[in-house]
Amino acid sequence: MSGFLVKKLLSALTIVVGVTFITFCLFHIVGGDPALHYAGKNASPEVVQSLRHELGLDKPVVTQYFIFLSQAFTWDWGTSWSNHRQVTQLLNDHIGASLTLTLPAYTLSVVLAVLISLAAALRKDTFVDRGLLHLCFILMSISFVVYVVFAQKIFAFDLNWFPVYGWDTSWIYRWSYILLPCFIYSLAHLPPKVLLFRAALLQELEKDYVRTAQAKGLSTYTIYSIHILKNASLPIVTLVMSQLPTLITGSVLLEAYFGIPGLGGLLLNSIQSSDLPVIKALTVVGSLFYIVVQLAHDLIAAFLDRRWELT
Amino acid sequence: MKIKIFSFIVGVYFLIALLVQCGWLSDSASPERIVSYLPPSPEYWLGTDFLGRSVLVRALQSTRVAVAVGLISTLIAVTVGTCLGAFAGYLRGWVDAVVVWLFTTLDSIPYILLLGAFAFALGQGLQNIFIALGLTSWTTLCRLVRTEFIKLQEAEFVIAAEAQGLRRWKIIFAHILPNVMHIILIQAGVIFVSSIKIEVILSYLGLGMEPGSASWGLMIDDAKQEITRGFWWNMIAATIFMFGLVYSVQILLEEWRKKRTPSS
Repeated sequence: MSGFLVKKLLSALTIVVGVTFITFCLFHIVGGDPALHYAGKNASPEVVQSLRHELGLDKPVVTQYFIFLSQAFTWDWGTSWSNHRQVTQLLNDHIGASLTLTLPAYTLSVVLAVLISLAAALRKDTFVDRGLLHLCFILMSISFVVYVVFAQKIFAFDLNWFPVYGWDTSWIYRWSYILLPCFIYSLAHLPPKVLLFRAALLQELEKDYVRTAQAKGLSTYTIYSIHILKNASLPIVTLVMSQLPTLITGSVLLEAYFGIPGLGGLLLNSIQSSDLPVIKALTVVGSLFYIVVQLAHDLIAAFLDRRWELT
Repeated sequence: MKIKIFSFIVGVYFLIALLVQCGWLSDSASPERIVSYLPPSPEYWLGTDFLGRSVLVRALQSTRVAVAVGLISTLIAVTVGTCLGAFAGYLRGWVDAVVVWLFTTLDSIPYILLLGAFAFALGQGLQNIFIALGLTSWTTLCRLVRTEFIKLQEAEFVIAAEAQGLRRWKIIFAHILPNVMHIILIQAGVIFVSSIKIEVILSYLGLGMEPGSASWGLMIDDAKQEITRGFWWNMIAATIFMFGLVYSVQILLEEWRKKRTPSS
């Protein structure tokens, strides 16, 4: 077990280095001169030169990379270019808003997806199952953007059930702003999950133990709720764990559209204003969360099933 | 029957895209009579937008961007994913270690952040969308191909080919690859659909096509203000045109999948 732990930790470390390396290459080499990006097309060469010096972009590339790498390990991301605030402070200010939207929304969509996929798998190849399957395909063929625009138009503008746009600093009044984005998020993310969970359930359905249970005379309901759901839970848990880190970065579209001051909106703003330190920090922070969650998943899986250590 | 109908629809989209690429519909603007926000009428079937352009023509022109993004990004992703997966799975050793490290690293960056980073570094425009989407969506395919190659490495026909002293690249591409093709094709369809959907979102966010070009995402972006004033046709047109293509490809994929595994 300890050997497994060390192996996983080491590989996580190489991935952290890889993430910072790819991020750095993208912004400093593929993207061209960051100072030019920031100064805009019409800046004079002198302005660009002074900016380059001011932002520390005139140091050798290798030095800049190691500064960036040390930032990732010390969690001090420097200052934002556009408003000169500490990036760490910016992240702390925005993460709460993202999570208040994504956590309830994601939980709702997972619970609904499990229930709906169970209902579909229970009635495999019937009218209900096929209908649900096609509904999923239909819903998946409409852009997420369209859901956001239409839902705001109908439920906020026309019916006045929800506020159109905005945010409240107090937790108590915030929920009214959260509700509509939350519903949109969970409904739009529902169909792919239903398809995946249904496939996982149906795969279990063909196994021998199901036939044994049926031969023993157990009711369909017992077989599904106890035997199949338990065995199909591993792929479901794996999927949920792999998507957890995306909750931290929030939903770019929803946050921008409903005025929620979360990390997704921050990402879009910093891309539009070429605020490199913020984009780099967000990319690495998002990946670090992913790596940590993945590590936790591997350890939990190895704890539950020792065979996992062989992978 | 189902396959025929939906293949026909996809074919029509491809044909429209090809015709637009060849210059069809390009001279449709009639600057002498510009009327903004005309509702659908016999003359303008889907009305006009804020610049008085026919919404139907815009939606048709946007097909070019969607099909091009779908095809070329998929081509890039499939080429990269298949080659890396094949080399890693067949050669193993340090090649395998590097490829596995590469796709684990890319997968660790949440997709929207990776895409945002690419879109930012490369800038707007069709070619940059191809590159950004192509280089970010190959990892799943690469994983699958690598696993299959590891499995097939021990198959008898591969051992026979090795015993004959065939070259490595010939064993990889002529002997093993055809046996993995069904996985690659299905995955290519998945990448095709997701590329089209992501282009719409990127364009909407201002990270995709340049403003002024024809793209469903840009049409929806225009329409988000109009719709509160009751001008719904821009939005509906973009949604329905995108729906037709994405839905058809998804149904085709599902049918192919059913053929491979009849039980599900």
